[in-house]
Amino acid sequence: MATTINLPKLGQTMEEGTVVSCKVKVGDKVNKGDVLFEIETDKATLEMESTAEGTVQEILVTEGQTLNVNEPMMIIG
Amino acid sequence: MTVKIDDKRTKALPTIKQLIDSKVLTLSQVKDWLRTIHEIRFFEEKVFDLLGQNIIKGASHLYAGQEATATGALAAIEHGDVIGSTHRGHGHCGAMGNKYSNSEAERQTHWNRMMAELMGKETGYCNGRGGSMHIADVKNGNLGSTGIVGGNQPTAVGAAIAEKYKKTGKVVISFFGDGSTNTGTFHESMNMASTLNVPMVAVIENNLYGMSVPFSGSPVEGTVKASNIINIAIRAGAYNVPAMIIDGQDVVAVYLAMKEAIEYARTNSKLMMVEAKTYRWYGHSKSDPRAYRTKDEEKQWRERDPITVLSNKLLSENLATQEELDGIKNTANETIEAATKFAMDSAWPKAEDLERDVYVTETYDRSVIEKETQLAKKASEATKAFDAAFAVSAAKTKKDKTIEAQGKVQNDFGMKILNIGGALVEAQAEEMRRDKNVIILGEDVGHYGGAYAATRGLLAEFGLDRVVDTAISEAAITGAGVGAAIRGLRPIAEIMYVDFITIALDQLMHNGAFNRYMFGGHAKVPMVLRTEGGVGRCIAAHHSKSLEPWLVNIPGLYVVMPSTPYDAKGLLKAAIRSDNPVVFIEHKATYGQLGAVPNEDYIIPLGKADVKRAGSDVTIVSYSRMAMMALEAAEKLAADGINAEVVDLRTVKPMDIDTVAASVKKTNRLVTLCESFAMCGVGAEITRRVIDYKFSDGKSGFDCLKAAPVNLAAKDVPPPMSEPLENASIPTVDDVVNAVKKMMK
Repeated sequence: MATTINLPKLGQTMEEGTVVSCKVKVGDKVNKGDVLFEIETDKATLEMESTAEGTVQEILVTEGQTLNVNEPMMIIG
Repeated sequence: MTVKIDDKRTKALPTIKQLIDSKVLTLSQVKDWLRTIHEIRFFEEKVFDLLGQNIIKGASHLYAGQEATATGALAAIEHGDVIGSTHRGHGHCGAMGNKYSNSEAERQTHWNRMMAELMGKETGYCNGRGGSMHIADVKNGNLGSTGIVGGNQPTAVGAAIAEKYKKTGKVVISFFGDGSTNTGTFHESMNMASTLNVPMVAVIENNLYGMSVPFSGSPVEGTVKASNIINIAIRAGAYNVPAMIIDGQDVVAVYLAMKEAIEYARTNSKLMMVEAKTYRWYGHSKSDPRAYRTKDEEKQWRERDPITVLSNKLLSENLATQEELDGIKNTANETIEAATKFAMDSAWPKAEDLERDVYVTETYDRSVIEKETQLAKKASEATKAFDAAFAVSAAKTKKDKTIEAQGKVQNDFGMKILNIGGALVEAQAEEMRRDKNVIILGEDVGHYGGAYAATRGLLAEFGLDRVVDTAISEAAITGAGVGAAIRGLRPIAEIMYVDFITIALDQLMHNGAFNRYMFGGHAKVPMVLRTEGGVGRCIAAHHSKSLEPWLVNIPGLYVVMPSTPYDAKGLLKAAIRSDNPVVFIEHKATYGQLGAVPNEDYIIPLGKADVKRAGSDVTIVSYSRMAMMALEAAEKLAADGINAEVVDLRTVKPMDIDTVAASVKKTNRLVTLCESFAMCGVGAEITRRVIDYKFSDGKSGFDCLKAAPVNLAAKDVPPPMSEPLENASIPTVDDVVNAVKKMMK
């Protein structure tokens, strides 16, 4: 079953985040806790960890892109 | 971990003669110690007598019996070293004043000022504002006594932070009693002094009793004990610092040990703890029957009277005759008698000087105020232009919309766009560049950049000496800010949530706000306590209160609460430059709020309100986030044809009631809007002052009102976590609109 990974709220004041870098590529196996992205918030640059395990099927964002909290970033299946 | 506890009592002391031969001491020095001990003793005996005659009023905690500790310790310090005293502080002040006296006349003046202070006379060390429990000589580095047991430990740590930062080579001696070593400030202060590696010697005067409770037990039936240890020095192990145990009755032993401890602290910039075993002849205070200790115990200690111990040494070593010793005693007695006469003959403070020295008087040039009023208007217009440009921007993300809109503001107004967090960072960075005495200390202010990112990046620019991460120790953070401020720095102490001030209030109020007044105006405390408050994040009542009504109730404090990035930056810069202690309260829900900020250097005068919206029908007075809600309400009212004026206090204390009253005179209606609790709140205070206000035309504020004022404030509930309840706990925009509409009818 495929899981969509959305941009989480990484701080109380965070409304949107910018993708600094993507740490995986399509086809990679990932486990819960693996770092998927580096995200710049209004407060700091943070590592965003996977909340699912499986294979990266699709990456929906590009580096430098800014998106709102809860918007989809990746599909893991 | 092994901590060295050096029990000096187990080692033989050199004779005075040996110390003279090896040039450690001179005979005249030792004889002067005896004189100092006698002077302190006579002073205490005289105070006891004068208390009985009701000539000295109030409470006095007498130092008789412990004189060797203060005398030996003060003899061991260098000129310029700093001390913090206890609530039994006559000995420390007495010995320190003697040290700084260069003539017999100066020595007499010193004791005159001490006795006058205890009598509450204008000629006293603190002009009679402090008395026995608060005697201080800040000019010479005596940071004073305290009425709160353990209350001076954090300020001593702050003084030591300042000496270390300024590289003065000076050491701080923090005196405190056994009773204080079971308080929270003891642990916070020792831990902070140890972890920050400050040059400090903590002198624990263990006189065995904290008021009536024995520290380690007493044979008297019915007594308990305050601890399960005998030697307090073992607590040094908890801080991984060295400690000594010394005979506090023998001035020679105290002097030699303190020389060693002070040398260690000075050379290594570290903390050492010294436990002096001693005893007080009197009870805790005059009314104490001393039923918790035995006559036998008192007798045994009396045999080790500091006067007897030193006199016997001098006699047995043939260094003085009995006649000479009698002469020293008589001289001391004459000094105290003369001091008593001086104090009795001295004038009382004048009632008209009652309020002198509560604050450092600060005024701003009219031109500064006028220029700022114009700048505030421009920033407000620029912010409106930014909001409009942001709203119509075709960019997809908030970040891109901001970039686009701020470009327009930069072009049209020459201003930049910052959020409140960023404005606070800029304010601090600019002031730190401007004045190297500005330092920051608090929890998570360094590497983490502040819980709300309000110190982000400052560590990288200013380094560990100026951006000091501390343990979670609110009382020590606050008190250290006070101590560092008294010693010449301009510290910004951060308390993460205003709610945490509840565990730092003694430091903030009694030391931060009161020291200047209680020390007779001879000290100033130019510190800023930065914190945040308010609801809006669903984090419940331990993290969501608005406590400014508590704080404005404290004489000596300024309270500043900004509502926009422009105000946040300009007010914080002014707060840092102020010579008064300022509590600067941000709002937790507004750190991301964007607004226009001038590119050039500016400050906002403290105590000046800002009319954020001009109107003619009603005055809404507010501050902090609620000022923004007042503006929202004003726009809604405008749609209904009601033209509201919004006054943002910006500084809650001192309160700019002139601006508020002038507005009410024009509109004839008043609504106050606060996020803090209603009872005895800021809104109630604004209303009271408006009603009492006297205009130059003879009218009162009350005469101008066409409707009863309305005070909107938080409900009388601990702010709840649940979002709908949290929202219901404070006034809403609609509450304001409805209140105004009702009063317009």
